[in-house]
Amino acid sequence: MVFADEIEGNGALLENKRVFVVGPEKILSASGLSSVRSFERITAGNPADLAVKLARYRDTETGFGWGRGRDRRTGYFQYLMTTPSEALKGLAALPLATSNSATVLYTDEKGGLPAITDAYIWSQRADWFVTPSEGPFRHFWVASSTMSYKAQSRMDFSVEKSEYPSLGAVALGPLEALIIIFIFLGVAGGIFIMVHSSYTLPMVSSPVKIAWTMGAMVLPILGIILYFNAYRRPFYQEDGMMRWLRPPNIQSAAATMMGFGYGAPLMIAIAYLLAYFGFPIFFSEALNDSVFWLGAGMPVMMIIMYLGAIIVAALMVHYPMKETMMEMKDSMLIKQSLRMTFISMTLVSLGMMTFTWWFMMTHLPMMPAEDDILWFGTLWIASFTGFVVAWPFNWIMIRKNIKHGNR
Amino acid sequence: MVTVKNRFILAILGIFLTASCGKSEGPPMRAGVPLQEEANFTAYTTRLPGGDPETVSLLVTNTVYASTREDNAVGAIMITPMDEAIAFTAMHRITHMPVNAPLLFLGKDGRISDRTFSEMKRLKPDGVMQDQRKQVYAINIPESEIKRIEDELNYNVRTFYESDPVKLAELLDRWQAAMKADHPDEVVISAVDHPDGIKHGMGAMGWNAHMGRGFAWVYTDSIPQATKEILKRRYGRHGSYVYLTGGSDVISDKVAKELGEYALVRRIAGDNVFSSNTVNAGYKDFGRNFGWAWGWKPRDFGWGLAQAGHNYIFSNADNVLATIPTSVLGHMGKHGPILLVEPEELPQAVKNYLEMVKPFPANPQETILNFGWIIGEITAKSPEMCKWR
Repeated sequence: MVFADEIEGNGALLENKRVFVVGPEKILSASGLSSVRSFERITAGNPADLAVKLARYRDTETGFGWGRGRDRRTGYFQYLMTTPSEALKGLAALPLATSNSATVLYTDEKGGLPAITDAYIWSQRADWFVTPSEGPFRHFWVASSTMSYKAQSRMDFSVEKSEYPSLGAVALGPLEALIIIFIFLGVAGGIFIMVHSSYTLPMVSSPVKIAWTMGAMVLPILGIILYFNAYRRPFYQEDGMMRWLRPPNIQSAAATMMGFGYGAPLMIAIAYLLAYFGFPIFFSEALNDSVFWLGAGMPVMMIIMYLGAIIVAALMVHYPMKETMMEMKDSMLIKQSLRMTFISMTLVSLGMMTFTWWFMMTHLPMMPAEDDILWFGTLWIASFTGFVVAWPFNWIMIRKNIKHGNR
Repeated sequence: MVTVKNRFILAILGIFLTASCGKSEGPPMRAGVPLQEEANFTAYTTRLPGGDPETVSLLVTNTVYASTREDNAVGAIMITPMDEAIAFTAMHRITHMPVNAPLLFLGKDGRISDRTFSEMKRLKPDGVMQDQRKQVYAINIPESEIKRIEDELNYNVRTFYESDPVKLAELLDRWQAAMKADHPDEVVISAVDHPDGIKHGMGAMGWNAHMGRGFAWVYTDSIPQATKEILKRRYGRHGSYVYLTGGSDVISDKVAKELGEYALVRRIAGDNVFSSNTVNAGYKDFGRNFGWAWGWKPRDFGWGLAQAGHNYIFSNADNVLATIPTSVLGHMGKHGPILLVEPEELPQAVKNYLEMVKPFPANPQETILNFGWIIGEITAKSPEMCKWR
């Protein structure tokens, strides 16, 4: 290493060497480097940016630079945090990292973390695949009299090891990134159907349009495909109502959507409320041994989701729908609504609950909380699974004339 | 008019954003343990210099949980009297996720001291989603103190009252099963009536605080009914897999044989308490548990650390009560097992183990690191510890 004001006297030392100039032009101008034949400048707009750039930099030919970028998930890295005005103090502390040299990073002068440094530290969060006791880990030394506790704790939190699928709270894991796309496509599809149907399908009743809209929200891409397949068909009138000529599989998809469109979002909403307020659990001695699961949080949540969705969907949706379409006694209408909702919800739940259980309880290393993207993702994919499972069963019911799929 | 409306909307947004930011209680100075002034360190070790169990428990929560935001706060707080067997049992079964609870102590006068109470306030537990958002798990805490927690801190408390640690293990097993809808098939078993029973099991307790497996007590020469109940609940291939902490002088062969009726029996044992814990640090048992054609669940127990690149917690073997809460250091952060040591020197078993896991330069850029937490005053530990790499 040669300091800027020592270049002239060290011409021989720099001869035939690959030279890296660290710092901006205003500190070390090109004219000051006239004796150096060629060099590569590593610079940035301010010390914090430059420190991060140096942390990431690596020249593979000469081996110069840390190369501690986002993808280096196997390294036991040490870092030394200091404030630019206390940089010498920071350099004096470097021997603390005796065996694995520390990369210097800067706080800002007020004791906080510059955005670039904050983002870089987040990128250094290590993930675990089997257990958090596996390496690697990062270690930070702080040599600053001004760094705030809040900044220190944020830094500490940034590098807390987390499981691979979600990379922990705040961070965005690979599975979460896919889930965001999945949910976005669903919501966009739902909004599209809502707008499209309101302009192009005035003859379709609102509850049916709402079912398609909400159903498509939790059925990304497939919802839109089925919607067009269901309504881009010849239609006719029957008993004053519009009917569409559909093949049996599309009829069964449309019939599934009527229950699913209300049931799945309702179950997600109920699950969210239960997660927000905490799952009720029971563990008295009476619920011991083989029936312990009756008091366990997940089964209790699933039972409440299932029953809640049946009751709300039957009374708030199916009953009013049937009331407008059929002339029957109230008790008969309620009975029929409950029966149909029970069948729909049971079929949807079959896929939805099974997937939720498998994904949350056995596949993910940590059960996500209600404020995790993974929580919504699980429920979204579970709903999708629920539809796919319920669809063939509805095909059978269409064949047996228990359900209708031409509305 | 439009400007007024916009300002009104901006004001509402401002209030909403300010309110949703939340606030932390600031650095842990309020707990009365000025960590930043007292902690001392070497390149590879940091000492938490508490002497008594309460101070250690506070230093540990100061260190692990910054509580400046929901995500680095505790899930809940566990509080027990200063009773080794009760605290040990609670740490085994409550600490791990999803609870994420460090251990604090009730004072010997039956009251929560001011500094522990302040720390409870600072920790701002998030509440356990899987258990009605409980924020405090109080084991054998007087009702007057529970009321104080509820009234003054407004925390949601779950109480457990069971003075017999054997029965407490059974009660916590039922509660855990309700929370996780499962009974973990791996069960650690320690001797409640042996003077060194807890010391032999300290490291395995650290594993449970980290991984949330089962725990039960036995007597040196017999199995209590509550423990039989715990084991009967398991439906693994061999019922359950039990790990006895200590040799046959701690848990007799007769008991091991009887346990064989309920489980596949393993021992995590050395010649003394130090080697039992180094064996635990290197111990790994994995393999068959149960399975079907399309799904299977292997058993997987133990740290299995036999190479560099890990973290360790060093604590004085005689300071049992102060060592128990430190297992949180193995549950968060760099993680790692507890190794018991003597005040003046490293026991031979620990020396041998550390020799095995000594780091070496893998390449010029990536030396694998070890790290150690040292628990206790400098007078209670030899300076030799601080030179450890």
